[in-house]
Amino acid sequence: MATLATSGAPVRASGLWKRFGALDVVRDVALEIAPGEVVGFVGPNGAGKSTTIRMMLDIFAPDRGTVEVFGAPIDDAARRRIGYLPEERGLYPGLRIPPILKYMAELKGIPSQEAPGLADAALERLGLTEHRTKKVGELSRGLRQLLQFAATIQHKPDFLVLDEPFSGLDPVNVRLMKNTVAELRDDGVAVLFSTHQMTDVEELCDRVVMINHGEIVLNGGVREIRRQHASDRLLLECASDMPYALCLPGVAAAEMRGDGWRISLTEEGSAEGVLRALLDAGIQIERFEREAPTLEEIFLRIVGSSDGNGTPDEGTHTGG
Amino acid sequence: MKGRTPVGSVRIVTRHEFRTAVTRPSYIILTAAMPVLVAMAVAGFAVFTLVTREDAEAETASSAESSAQTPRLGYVDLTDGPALFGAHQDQPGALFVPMPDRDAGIAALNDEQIDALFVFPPDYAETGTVVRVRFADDAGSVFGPDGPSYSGTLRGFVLSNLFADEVPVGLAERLQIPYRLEIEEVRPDGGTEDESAGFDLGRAAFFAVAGISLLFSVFFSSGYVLNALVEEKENRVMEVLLSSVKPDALLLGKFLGLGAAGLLQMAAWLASVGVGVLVVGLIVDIPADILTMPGIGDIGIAAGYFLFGYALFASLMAAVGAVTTSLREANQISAIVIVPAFIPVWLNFILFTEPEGTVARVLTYIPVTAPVTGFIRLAIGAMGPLETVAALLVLAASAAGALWLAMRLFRAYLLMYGKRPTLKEMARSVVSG
Repeated sequence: MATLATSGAPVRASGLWKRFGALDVVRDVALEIAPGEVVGFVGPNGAGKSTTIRMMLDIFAPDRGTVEVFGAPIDDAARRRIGYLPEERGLYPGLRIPPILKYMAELKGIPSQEAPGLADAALERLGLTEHRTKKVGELSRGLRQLLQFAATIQHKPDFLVLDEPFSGLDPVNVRLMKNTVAELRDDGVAVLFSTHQMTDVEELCDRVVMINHGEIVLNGGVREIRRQHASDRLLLECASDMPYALCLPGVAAAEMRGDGWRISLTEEGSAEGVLRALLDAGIQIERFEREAPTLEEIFLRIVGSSDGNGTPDEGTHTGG
Repeated sequence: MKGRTPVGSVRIVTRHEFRTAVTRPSYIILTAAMPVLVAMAVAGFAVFTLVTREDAEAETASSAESSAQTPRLGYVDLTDGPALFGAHQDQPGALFVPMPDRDAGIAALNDEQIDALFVFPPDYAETGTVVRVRFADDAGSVFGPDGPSYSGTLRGFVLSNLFADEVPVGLAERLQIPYRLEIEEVRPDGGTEDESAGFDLGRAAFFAVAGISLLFSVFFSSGYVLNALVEEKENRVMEVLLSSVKPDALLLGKFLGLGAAGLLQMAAWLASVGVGVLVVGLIVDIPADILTMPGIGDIGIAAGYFLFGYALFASLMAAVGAVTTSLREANQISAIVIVPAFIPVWLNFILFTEPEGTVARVLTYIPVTAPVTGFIRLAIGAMGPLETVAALLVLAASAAGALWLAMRLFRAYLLMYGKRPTLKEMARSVVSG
């Protein structure tokens, strides 16, 4: 069983296991998030992301394993410090915005007389003030999404769970939400950010956790992971022609790509050796870097190295 | 930020559900419909009563006036011998006035001193012929071409005079109306059935209204729980809520809030009916039993049946809402719950004719038929205290069981979208919790 020893984390899950029917949807998952940390939670559809999140939030009880939120098993006091924007989300289309936000705030322990003020502040933060008297059903999909985000953060949570928060949003509102998440992170909020968009993870997250077939297959800092998965290839651009790249020491293959070369090293070869040889030869170098894969490439590589299909989540439930 | 207990969560959900339900236009329209209908019915009844009362008063006045102007019917007795018709000239509805001869009678008729003229010819005794003399232009009267026939009056006049001094006065009446037929039903042992003995009209009315109210609550109050659950699943609000509140607290809050809204609606309807009855009571006489406040015991029994009945049906509806994925599907499946509630209504002829028979007793203890059966049997006074208490205990236990079942299913399928679980899956979920 995987274990994590760090204490005082907003959330710490260890050995989580969930079975639906004959299928182990989540297997021995351990996850921890520190205050002020944004963790990207990625994985293919049906990998077990949503089930893991639901277990962490006590919506589903795990078959095995433990979840501690703010240092203790989740209870009502802990629940009100959490903000959750699920992937399958919606609000009451027939109701106006103020009573909905008030209800959501009260469920988070906000006294009813304080709720309107917090709701107004959240609406203003997300540019929704002009819509505050409307019914939910009168809002566009994007505005409904922003409204849900406002409902999620209005009570100033310490632990924020966002499951595909940007789907359906235009670039302007995506930027608005990203900025808000960054501000919350700066305020010390721990954020678990589940998404399929690896570029968003690279931009927003300090750490990435990848799940596949219900198991954690990758867990680490974004830069660290990219470095770990860096290939043995170099990207080289020179100011002058370099017709003899293949003759450089330690080079196994060289391929002209665009304005430069993509060089594969031999087992004995090193980037330092190549660079030294180029400098010794008086080549004017404009670009020299080790090719680091994007998170998306790493994701595809890891997922592809299995069967390419995630373990389906529980048949009758949604999410991954 | 203040703390919040699970009870606090239930209270918040209850308040939200109640407020949301009672401010819905459909709820307001439906709630107001009954008072409006009752007001219209009472107003219509009042107008009808006033009109008919005026007619009756006019008729009474007319009758009084007409009695002051009792028709005077002239007659000429041409028979031989002693006068046959002199003893009883004052008949109900007419005064018979003797005329010395036919010409005098015609003159009196022409002068409107009399309203009709009858001539008893000399051979009356042999032939029974009586001649009514009238003017040829009397045709076209509202009473027909011949005007009032006075045949009944004439018959009474003739009979009472023919048998004058022959039979006693009372017997003379029997000659005119020989008998009035009455029927008496007896048991083979000769005893008589007195159906009204022990029947409390006020109690019957009270339990009848309570039973009807329960049927309405099955349709409406418990239906609100079903709709709210399925709508939240359809709207995808459920998971948002579940990050803030436990499933049991959420379900209980809905149960209480929507139940309160439904019961408020029911109370409004019952109050409007009650006010309507009181207003009607001011217009016409209503049996005093109906206007009498029921006893504490009866109120307690009705409240028990009502609350446990609501709890049972709302829980079953919640269970249906938990395992269905759309409002349409939920409404179709809810028939499984609603239809059995009406079985006692369909079998009412059995319950009324054999209120203590096997069918009645069995239906009393089957949870879904118990409330309505209980109200029917209580209304006709066919349930003793022990049986009532036993039936209420069974119903209460069933309601608790249904709530437990609903919570289990709700917990298991609260985030299920798109696929309904099989019965086997549901059974497994209930057992495993």
